[in-house]
Parts: sequence; structure tokens; C-alpha cells
Amino acid sequence: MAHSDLVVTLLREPGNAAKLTANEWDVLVRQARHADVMGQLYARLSEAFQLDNVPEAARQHFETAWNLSHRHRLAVHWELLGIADTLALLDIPVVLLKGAAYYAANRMAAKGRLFTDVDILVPKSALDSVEQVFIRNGWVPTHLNAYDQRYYRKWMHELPPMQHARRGTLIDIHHTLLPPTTGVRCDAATLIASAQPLVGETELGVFKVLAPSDMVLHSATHLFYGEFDRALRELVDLDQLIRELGTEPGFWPEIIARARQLDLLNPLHHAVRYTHLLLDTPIPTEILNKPLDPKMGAVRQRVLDALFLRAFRPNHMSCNDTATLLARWLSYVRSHWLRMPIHLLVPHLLYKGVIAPRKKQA
Amino acid sequence: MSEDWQLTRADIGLRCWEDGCIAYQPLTGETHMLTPQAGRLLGLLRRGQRTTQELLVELGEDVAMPELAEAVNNWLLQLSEAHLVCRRLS
Amino acid sequence: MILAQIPPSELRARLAHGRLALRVGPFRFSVASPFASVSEGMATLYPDFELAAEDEFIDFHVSVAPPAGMRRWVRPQVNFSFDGRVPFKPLPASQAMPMLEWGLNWVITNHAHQYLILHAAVVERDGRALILPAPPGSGKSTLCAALVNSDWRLLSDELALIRLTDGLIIPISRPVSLKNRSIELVRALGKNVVVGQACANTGKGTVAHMRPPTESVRRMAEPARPAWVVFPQFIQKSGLTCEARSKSTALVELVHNAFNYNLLGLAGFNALGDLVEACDIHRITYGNLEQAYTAIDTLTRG
Repeated sequence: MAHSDLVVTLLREPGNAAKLTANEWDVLVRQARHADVMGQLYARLSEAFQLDNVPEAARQHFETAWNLSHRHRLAVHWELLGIADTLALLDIPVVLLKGAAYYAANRMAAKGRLFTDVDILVPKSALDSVEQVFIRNGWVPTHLNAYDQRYYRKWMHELPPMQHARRGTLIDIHHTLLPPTTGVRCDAATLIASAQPLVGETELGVFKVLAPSDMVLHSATHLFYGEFDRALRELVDLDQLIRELGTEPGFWPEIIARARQLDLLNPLHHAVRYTHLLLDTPIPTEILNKPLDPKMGAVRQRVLDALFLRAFRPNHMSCNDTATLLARWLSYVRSHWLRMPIHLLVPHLLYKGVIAPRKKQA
Repeated sequence: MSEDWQLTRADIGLRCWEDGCIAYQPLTGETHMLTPQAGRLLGLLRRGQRTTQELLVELGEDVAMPELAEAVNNWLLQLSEAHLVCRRLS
Repeated sequence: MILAQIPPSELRARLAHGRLALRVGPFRFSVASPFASVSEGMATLYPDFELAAEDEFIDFHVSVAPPAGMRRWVRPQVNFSFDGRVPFKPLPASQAMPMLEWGLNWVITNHAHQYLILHAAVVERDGRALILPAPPGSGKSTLCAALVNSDWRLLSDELALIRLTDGLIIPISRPVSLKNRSIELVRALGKNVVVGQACANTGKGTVAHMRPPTESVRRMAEPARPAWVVFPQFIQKSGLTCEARSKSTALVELVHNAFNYNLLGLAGFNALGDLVEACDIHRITYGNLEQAYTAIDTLTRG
């Protein structure tokens, strides 16, 4: 089997474990490590009773990642407690996003995952008071140079990340899902209004999480409108969310209506297509058969397929043929194009690629 | 006034030697150095929740101190701040 | 088959194509490098190491190679990369071999979390292990070199691997890293001592590595039970002092000397607690190697 397909092959069918050679396990571990899906793979293999089919040396690596994810869960919980304390003083809705939300809401997507930053969504009107209360409680703004500050505040949809001075945790404070510059009207107030409390949770009670449709839509938007360096890991998140939430009665009509309302049919279209194609995510046939995005013609679909299916490969040497690298770069450009007016795009990319490193060396 | 005390988590780690004890809190990830007496107190709570009164009695058995009650309150305060113990909410 | 059995030209070729795979303790590494200094360094420092077969699972693929682009020719540099990622800034190309050693340390300490990894030398005699934790500059490496050139087996000079499942020390008998004055001191230890090419002007001064004794490498598959912890402190021209260390203090000090304690949670705490409980713990200050050697010999013959 082609090396580039190993991680995806095992994710969609853990039973393939028995067929892999030692050399293929070698490549698989390196790809999975690079794509940051080691813990998730362990969970899949374990649930499918395939761990005995994994050679000892390889299994050790998966087990280490799995154990590490447990440590991460504790760390996230502790961080959330600290953040909850800080925010309790303000009387505003605070919605957890992404990894921290999957953990707090006990979603399947949290299994085996490593957590890095905490992402929260707050009303735009509360942004200043939120920033102030964090600063008063030991958090420090990062990205202090003027260019980055402008990039985050003016063009993106978040404050520059804040870092806890003592613990080093990073928190991203968002006030919308997509920057206003994309022209996509995505109403954050609606998302916040529909956000749900955590079931049964008391310690973290100050937090809410997005409603199920919104959680999936946010994950899809983050993946397809974002930078592609964590693409496969985010696709795995999406797959897990859809598997868990997609079985709820009324889920699909609801998410399609919601996507229409929020102008997010495009990322939803990509989400159902590529999770199904790559990870065999169960999607109702009628949805797969008719493109969700009415603007998606057959030709455009083929071009995007060529782009995305390659870009989802683990970002690893064994997958880096020229076409893949080009596709990945194009995806990166495309995502930035979606988020920033084109006349602003090139200077930004240039700054990041060329100017910034030299500055750091000074 | 007697209050109910317990560990914050069942899996608090504790190792005790004659000259000192070390405790580990899995949630905060912090490791703490404790005096032998504070360690002894933590050890009692590891065996199950206790009221302040019960702690005084059990500790008083081999810790002869004039102001044991005040000392116990101090230790409970320090152990609380380290997130090792907490008051039991009934 | 061991590395010494590969003819130099073939060794050079295998390294250039990333096809040199070695068993290093419990791990299998594959190394890629186009540098002659690395090929020579491997031949000098790793001759007794067993090769891994072509179709074996390799735990870690590493390379030390020139970065792409202009720096290839203008002030040549070397990058360490692991699985295609470059974790460090480049160094001058003359430091390729030390960079490989530092890189291997980094890979192990960042990935081998089935072990509690202490920043310590660890040696073995009569089936029992002596751990010598020490921050850099405390004379640990010179002392370690001296011990393993007498009747102690080298388990590791820098990374003590304590297996979480059973508390045993797992050897990775890699070259002993030496700095500045200790290089000459160690060369003078005996005729059998082999020290590789010294590299000047690194961030740590002049560095070199001592080849691990053949016997230590041959016995790399034998774990050992920890029995002693000795905190050494070299103070020039001082006399010898030796005192027992409190276990609780020692545990805290070992926390500070552990690379991955934070990542292991309760398992790491328990591993350290067990270690401290099981070992006799002392602190010694010494002014010369002989003093240290004698003190250690006395402490461990009980």
C-alpha cells in the first residue's frame, strides 16, 4: 500500500493492522507522529481490539502518546479551572471552542488528543473587559510587535494570544468565527445565544459549548478556512464529531439549515465530502449525492479534490512529492485568500516567510 | 468548631520518611515538601475523610505539642492552598 | 553484525543514504549524514554497536546535514532533523558530530516516556546500579569516565532511563560527553581509553566524546536494579566529604534533575518515590578523581 496512505488507511479501518510489515509500521509511526494523531490512533486500535496486532516496538510509541494524552486532560482541566475563576467576575457568556470544548463536553473527539491552547468565544462588546481581567490575573499579551497586533485585531477574529506568566498556557480569545474581512457574514451572537451549558459539570459551570451543529460547523470552518498545518488532525476531529453527533435525530436537517443561515454551506460541503472520502465517516447518502454548496460545479469539485486530498496527507517526507507540496502551499494560500483581502495577503505572507525569521536573529 | 476534611483527589501521591514527606497533586502537577507532621495529617486523610476533631485525636496520639489545634489548622490551611485537601461539602 | 565490521567507504555511503541503523539500548536509530566527520565519529565512538536489520522497525530517524539554501557554501552549517522536523537552530558544520549526540539526547528525552529520564550518569557493579545525578559542570562525566574505566559498567553518562513498569535502569551505553579540561583528564586515564575528535568553540566550550567500553556495549541488554544514589560535587583543591542525604530532600532534588517528570504525572512521582526508597543516598564533595573513586568504592562495597 502506498506509504502516503498508511495513517488514513489505519484510521478508517484499524483491522488493517494485521497486514502491515515492520517497515510500514515504521513509516506509519513517523507519519502519525508528524500529523499529531498518535493518541487517536491508539484509541482506534484499542477499540477495534487490534493492539495485539501491533508489533511491540511500535505499540510502545502509541502507548506513550495515549498516556501523555491523559496527562494533558488533567492539565486542561486545571487550566480551565483557573480561567473559570478569572472569568467568573464578569457576567458574560463564555463559550469554549475546539479541543478544550471537546474535553469539557466529554466528546469522543477528545480521546487520545493532545491539547495545546485554550480557545474561547466571547461577545465582541465584552472583549475589552475580558482582556483586562486576564491581564489583572497574571496573563500577558503576546505578539507585541505592531504588525502582528494589527494582523490579529484588525484582520483576524481574535485578540493576539495571551499567555499565563507563570504557567505558560496560551489562551486565544475570539469574538467571531471568521474575520469580517472575508465577507462571510457569520453571526457570532447567534452562536453564543445557542451555546449550551455543560451537562452535569459543576466546577467548570461558567463555560458553555457550541450547540452540536455549530460545533461541527466551527470545526469544518476552522479546517477549511484555516492554515493547513494540522489538516489531518482536524479532519480526525471532524470525523469523530460527526460520528458522535450525526446519529442524533434531526441533526442533518438542522445543520444544513444552520449552515445556510450562517453562510457556511461551503465548509460543510467540504467537511462531509472529505471525511467520507478519507475516513469513511457515515454521512447520509442523499447529502453526499447532492452538493451542499450550490456554487460547486463538477469541474471546480475536481480541482478542489486534487488540492485537498493531497493536502490531507501527513506533512511528512514520505508524503512530500512535489505535487503534494504544491497542493499544500496552494491550500495555505487559498485559506489566507479566504480570510484576507487579496491586496493585503502577499505582504503578510512575505512578512511571515522572510522578514520575521531574520528579525528574530537580531 | 469541627469541620469535615478530605483529599481533593483520591490519587494524591504521598511518600513519608522520618525527616519529611513529599506529596504529589496529579491535577495541578505540583510536587510539595511537607513536614513529617503535615505529612502524617495528609496520610490520615488518605485513609478517609476526617473531622478536625478526629484529626486532633489521631495526631495527638504521637505528636505531643502544646498548641496542636492551632498547628493542625495551619497545616490544613497549607495543604488547602496546595490543593491537596479541602473542606467536605455536605 | 557490529558497526566496526563495515568498511569505511561503505559506512560513509550508508550514512549518506540514511541507511545506517543501530541498536542503541532499547531503541533503534537510523542516522543519515553526508559529513565525513560524522562517518569518522561513528567509526570511532560506536564501533561495538550492533546494527539493526534493514527490515526492522526503527524507532527514530535522525539526520545531521547541511541546511538547504545559501548556507551550504557560505560559512557551512549543519542542521539536526528528526522525522523531517528541525528542532534546533543550525550550528557550524564542524560541530556535526556533537550535534548528532545532542540531537539523540533530545529525541530520547522528548519521546521515550515509558521511562522516567533523569539527568544523571548511571553505572553498574555486581548487578546493582549507582546513579550520579548532577547539573552540568559538577564533574559527573569525568567521574563517570573514570568509574567505567575501572570495574564499573557504563549504563549511561547523561540519561538515566528508569523503566516505569518495574523501576529497573535500562542501559543506553552511548559515548561519554566531555568538556574542556575533562577531555585531557580522561585521555590520561589509560591506554585503552579512546576519545574522539575534539570540537572547539561550541556553546559549551570544547567538547569531545569517549568511546564506551566494549564490555559495556556488549551488555547493553542487561538492565540493573538501582541501589545507590550519589550526588557528586567537584570543588577544586578541596578535601573529601561524604554524608548521607535525607530521602525527602533527595526526591525533590531528583525532581529537578528529571527531564520528563512533568509529563509522567503520578507514575513519575511513584517511580521516583520507589527509587529513593530503595537506594542508599549520599552526597560527596571531592577535589580529585581518586578521592571520589575511593569514596564511591567504600560506599558501594557494603
